[in-house]
Amino acid sequence: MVQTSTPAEVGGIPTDPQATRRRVTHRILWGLAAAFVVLSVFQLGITPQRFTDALPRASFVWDRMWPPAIDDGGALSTAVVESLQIAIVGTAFGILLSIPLALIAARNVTPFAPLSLAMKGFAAFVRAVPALIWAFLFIMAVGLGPTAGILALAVNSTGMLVKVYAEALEEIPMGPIEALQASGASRSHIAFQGILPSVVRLFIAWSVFRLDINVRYSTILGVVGAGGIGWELTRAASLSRYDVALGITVVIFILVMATEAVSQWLRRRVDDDTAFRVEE
Amino acid sequence: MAVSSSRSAVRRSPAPTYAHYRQYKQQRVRRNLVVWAVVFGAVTWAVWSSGFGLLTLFNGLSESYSFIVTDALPPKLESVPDYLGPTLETLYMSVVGLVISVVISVPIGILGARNTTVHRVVSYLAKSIAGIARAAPSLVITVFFVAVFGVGPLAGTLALGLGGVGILGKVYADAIEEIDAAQIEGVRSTGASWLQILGQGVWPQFKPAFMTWTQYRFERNVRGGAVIGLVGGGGLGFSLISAINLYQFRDAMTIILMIFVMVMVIELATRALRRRAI
Repeated sequence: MVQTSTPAEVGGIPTDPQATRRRVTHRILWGLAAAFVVLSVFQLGITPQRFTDALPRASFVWDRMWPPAIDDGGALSTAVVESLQIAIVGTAFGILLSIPLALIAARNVTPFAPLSLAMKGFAAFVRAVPALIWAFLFIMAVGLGPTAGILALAVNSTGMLVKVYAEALEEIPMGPIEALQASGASRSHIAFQGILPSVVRLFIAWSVFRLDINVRYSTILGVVGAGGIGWELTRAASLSRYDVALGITVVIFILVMATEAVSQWLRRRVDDDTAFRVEE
Repeated sequence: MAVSSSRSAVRRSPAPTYAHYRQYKQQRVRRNLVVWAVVFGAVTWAVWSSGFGLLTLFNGLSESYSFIVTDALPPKLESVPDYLGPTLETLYMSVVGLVISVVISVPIGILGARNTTVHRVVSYLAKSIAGIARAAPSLVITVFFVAVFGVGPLAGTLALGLGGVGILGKVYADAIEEIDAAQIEGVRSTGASWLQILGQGVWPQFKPAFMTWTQYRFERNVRGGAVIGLVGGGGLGFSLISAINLYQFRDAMTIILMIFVMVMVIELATRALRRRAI
């Protein structure tokens, strides 16, 4: 396509100094980014030779992977159930911890303004540390097993839920609350008739979304020893039973996809439920 | 029927009264009773069968607190230089993983979007690939790559790259589907080829979403790159698990704090860069 000249550009020569400067900054930034990619590839030692060297190993793993197998159905189903337990209990306690903390963190309901900032900072810190690192901290403290996994998910959920709950609370429309106050409603009336109805939908939607995330996490927490199906996966891989590892991966797939379907259904249900409808 | 939908609807239905509201509330409660019962049942079952109650929660949290204070604090600041190498390695893995994801996801996005695909079947296939990749956690992929390439950053990088295809492929396709068809039509009417349409009609509209989601994935990669080492993928996670296996908890705490600082710095830096680059 033919380049059209703008007023800033006569005969392909840019004349507007600001546009020129922006273009130069752009090129420098993209050049630096490209240079960093090349540097990274070298630093990681990624060479074609690494791939050709890995070929025999890859075909060995591939041959042992097919067909996917279930070695010990009983142990596997126990592990699946344990994963679901970790996800559900972790989410439930995450919600339980988050609601009071969100009441402190929301600007418009906090009992003390500096506390709101401190709580938001705390939530940001909790979010910035990945869930698996939390799992590790709890494994060091309470030992291997599902308890560490549940604690990790409960705490990690708190980081996200406090933030989104507080944001939902901060966006409460003041109209209905003022109307309730004008009609002489008590504090508990205002909480249940004014505040609760306007946040409950968002709270449920976010909590369901978090359950979705937590089921994903609960399938991999076991990789570091925090209970659930991930442990079976690491064990199969360390025994070079790649067919079993692939079978477990398929089970994880099904678990994740089923949760996604359930959470989508629940969220649609919440959305359907919003409008006040008059049935004919 | 919604109260405020249209005039004819209002005429057909009686004006909403308090009785209607009561009736609506009752219906809603009845409809949701089953869902709430299932949710309540699932939580009760999980709490009861795992034996994890409020007491366990607070005991666990207080035990962890005292463990951290007595065994893991203060962090060993003098060993920070030892972990700068692994920190950089995590960043290298994130960057190369991102490039791999983008290189695979852009074709998947273009072929997956209904308005730019070459055929409906291709679109369906491309979206299925993204869907499968999305259901596989990066850590699970890492386990297989470690089996092939051995312990080290190469396995982690490839796992991050493939892991990103699930989300990027999907959002790229979604973003392309939402662009303005009239502009594409305009470019097509000049007699442009498929590639020219992509370059002149699609890319300018797709670019903002592309930048946003790619940046988002980069931030996710930095977090993911920090933990992928826990299963042998290299980077800070590998240093962390080595420190823990040697019971060097103060070193472990140093690494955790460095992960935190790295994640925060990267988020601030990408945001600043984004404001400049767009």
